[in-house]
Amino acid sequence: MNCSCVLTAHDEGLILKPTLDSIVAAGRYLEVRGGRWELIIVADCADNATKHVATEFCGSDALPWSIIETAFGEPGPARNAGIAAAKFDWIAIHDGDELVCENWFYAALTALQRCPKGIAHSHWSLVFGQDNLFWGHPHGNRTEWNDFEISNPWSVQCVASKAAFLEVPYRGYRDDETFEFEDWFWNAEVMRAGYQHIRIPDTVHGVRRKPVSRDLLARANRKILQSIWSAR
Amino acid sequence: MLMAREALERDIVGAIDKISNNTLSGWIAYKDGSAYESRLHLLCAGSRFALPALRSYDRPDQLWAGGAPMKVGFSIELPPVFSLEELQGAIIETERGQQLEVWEGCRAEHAVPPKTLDEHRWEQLIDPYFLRNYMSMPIADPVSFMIHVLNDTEHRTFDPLYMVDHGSSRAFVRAITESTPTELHLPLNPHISAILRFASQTHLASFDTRVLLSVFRSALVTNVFNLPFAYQDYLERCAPEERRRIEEHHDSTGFDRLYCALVHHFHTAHGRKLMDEFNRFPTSVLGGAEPDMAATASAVEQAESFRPNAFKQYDFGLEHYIAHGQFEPQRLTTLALSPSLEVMAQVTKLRRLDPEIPDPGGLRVAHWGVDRSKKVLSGATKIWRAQEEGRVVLPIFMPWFTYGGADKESLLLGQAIRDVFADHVEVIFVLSAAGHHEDQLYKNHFNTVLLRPDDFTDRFHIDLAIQRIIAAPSVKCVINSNSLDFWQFFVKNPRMVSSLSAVATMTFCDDLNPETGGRDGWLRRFFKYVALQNSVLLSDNAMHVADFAADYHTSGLIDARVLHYPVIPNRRKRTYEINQRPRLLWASRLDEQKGIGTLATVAQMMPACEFHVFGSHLLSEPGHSVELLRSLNNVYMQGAYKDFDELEIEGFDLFLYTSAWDGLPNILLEIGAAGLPIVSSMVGGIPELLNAESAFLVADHSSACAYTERIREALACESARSGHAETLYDIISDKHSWPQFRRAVQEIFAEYMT
Repeated sequence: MNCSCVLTAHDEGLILKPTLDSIVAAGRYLEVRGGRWELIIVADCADNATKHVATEFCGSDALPWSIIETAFGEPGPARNAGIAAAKFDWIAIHDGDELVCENWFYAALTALQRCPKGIAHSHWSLVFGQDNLFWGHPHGNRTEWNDFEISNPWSVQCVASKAAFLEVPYRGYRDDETFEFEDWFWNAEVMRAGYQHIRIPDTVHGVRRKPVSRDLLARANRKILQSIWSAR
Repeated sequence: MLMAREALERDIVGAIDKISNNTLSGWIAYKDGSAYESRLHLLCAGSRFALPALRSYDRPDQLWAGGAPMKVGFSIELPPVFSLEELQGAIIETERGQQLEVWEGCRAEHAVPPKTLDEHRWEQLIDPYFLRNYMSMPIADPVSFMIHVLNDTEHRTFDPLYMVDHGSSRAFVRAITESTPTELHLPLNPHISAILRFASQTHLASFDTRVLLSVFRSALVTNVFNLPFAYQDYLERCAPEERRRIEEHHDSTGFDRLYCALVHHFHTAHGRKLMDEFNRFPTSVLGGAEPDMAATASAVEQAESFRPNAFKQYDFGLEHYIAHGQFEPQRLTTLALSPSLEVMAQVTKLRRLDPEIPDPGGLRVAHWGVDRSKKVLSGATKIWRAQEEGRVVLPIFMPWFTYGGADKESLLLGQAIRDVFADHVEVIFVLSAAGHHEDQLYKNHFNTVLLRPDDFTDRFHIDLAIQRIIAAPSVKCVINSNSLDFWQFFVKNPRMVSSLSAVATMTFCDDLNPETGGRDGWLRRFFKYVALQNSVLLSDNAMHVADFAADYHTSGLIDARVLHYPVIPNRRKRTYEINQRPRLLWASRLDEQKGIGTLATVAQMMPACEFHVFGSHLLSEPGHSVELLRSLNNVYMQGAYKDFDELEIEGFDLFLYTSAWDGLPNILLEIGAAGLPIVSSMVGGIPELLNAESAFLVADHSSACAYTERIREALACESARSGHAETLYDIISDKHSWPQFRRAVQEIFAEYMT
């Protein structure tokens, strides 16, 4: 049970530290149970603070890690780049500001042995920061399709075979502002390709909810309005 | 006591009859024969889900009588969080930790076959611009665009009401953002111009046209109708001194009011009718002909009952969408579901890495599922269908449909309305809760709408569903038969309700508050707030409405009618000889209201008589009186009954009715029409049916001695029994006939059927 963890980082800065801590804990947990793992950090248009934390953290410990610098400016192609560099048959996808539980790699890989065409998600996300709640993810492809059209029922964190990611790569979907749907569409496309979304019992991810600035809202709204003003 | 209870816990039996992805049904009982009345938990996929507390009357038809275990049937709606595979391995656990081994031979199945996606829908689903079909249409005007969506029968996903409720649609916003400026020509829609002109002269008179135009355009495009949001954005774009000037000299609450007016229009007219409404305004652009001020003023006036803040509270769609890339309302929260202990332990370890992570104990749990209002309204499609077929829809709001007299009378009223108005009307029962006796409705080919399709439906979604139902143009009148959900909505929005629909309120009798001894009940609690907005008050007895009128001095102020509900004469008791031990029938709810304490004392005092007791408790918990009844050798507890026909009237000598307060009980009509002589109390509206010539009456309902005296009197004289029964049979045949009831119903409801 060997796993490559692809972590995209952009401007997380110091927030990256607890994320890396949690990934290393999950990696050690897997090692103790006979598995091997590696960490691939894809620093996509990453700021200096983020790169600094990543290199200092990983360099300070004898970790199986590597860093790839890209300039896509969006997570889909960045993840694809990390996946291409992975050496193991199972890939774990993570974002730079979220935490994984200690048993995540081991539990997901164990479940995937029985279901090789599975896309493993944690059973729960613990949302913290601006909001505090448990968020349960659905199991299997039994989701109400109308709901899926409106919202994405799974987070970006998942484990699946490398073959799945190569067969259905993340889409590039460039948007200058805040609209990002690549994991949403990827979840739909893997279903179409015959993969099964499964949730792994007794697992949880920490999902950081950052404050939404009024400025961000105003900028997004203004972008929508821009076309109107220019059309007048 | 605890030890005894623990012993009972060890002797539980149970079985699951059916598991599906949204329902769990089965039964549970103590082996000693008592009913299990406590909470159960479902252990599934490492999660612990608290099921609703069970009570023995949840499924009365599942009760066993006599010495066998008292099986309590349950049918519980599950949240959409467990897969079938997970449910297959689930366990039911009692409050004290006993686990039921119930899964053998029971397979989890889909309640509804899962939907499949055809290629066409796949294309839509995985296309980031899944309004691609619409994208080929130039968005000359978002309103036209929305009309196009409204008229599209293939893509019902884009529910325009949903778009308004939740701020906007992801696809709609996407469509707008992806449009290039050259495509996006936004000449003001003439209808909107009219409203804007009206606004500039009334609510927003202080603003100049240029500001209003800007705000209105942006509101329309960014958030469909969200004027307050657009106004804030406009202010942010202003230079500081201009912003200060506007804020100091202009009253911006007009944006809120206008916003409410638009939303109100949208709801009232059920989407597509909105544009018809607007089309009645002059097609002038600003500066053109005069708009129809009266029509617009009327629209805004109606919207006064909407509170802007209440609307804005739920209008978080765009903000959440921008922040998180998807809409919030699909996330439903509950405290009934909790993650496994292992998950809690894992979270504790994560807290060491980042102290910002909260203590997981007691956190809300969110799960994905169908939005409640959508789920509720999927049942309401029956209303829209009837509307499209040109029929008037008459919703009857009820808390549930069960075995009581109120339920029976509501059914009779529905049948009479359908009988009188035939194909012109569609009667739909809007039930707050399911799982009781609504098969009676289906047998009679009535449609139902469930206001609470599961335990996670909240007040907001119920109100929304009621609002949409009464806002349907085909709904001219609604009937409220004891529905607390409707009462609460009506009290909150009296003006809105009365402007949209007439309301006929059914009332039966007051309750008595056991603590204060005073009169209580929905009519006493709520009617005072809506008396003037209510169209007609319907009761089955004059005493009840007279009492209310006297207490609140409403005589001449409200339209109150007495309806004599019909019963089909069916004389089943023809001989009145008593050749053996006298057999008395008692059939009602085993509640304190029905005088079960008095009944127990009477039975104790008359050991020579057999008392056959039918019914189950509904409003009060079974107490000492029920225990006493069970302990008496001459009392036979026969359990609940579904239909009057189940009672073998022929085998009894007297019917005993011991109610402490009441309206006009339906059971007395049915007993009278079957020819069985009655010994009864004289409370509430009972004297309107029974008199000294037609029954053996007891003046003091609390006196067991008075009952025994009258029973002995009745048992002693065969001719008195037969004479009283004969008289009552004639009264009922005459006064409670179907033709007279039909005439009364026609008189009341004719004005709402066109």
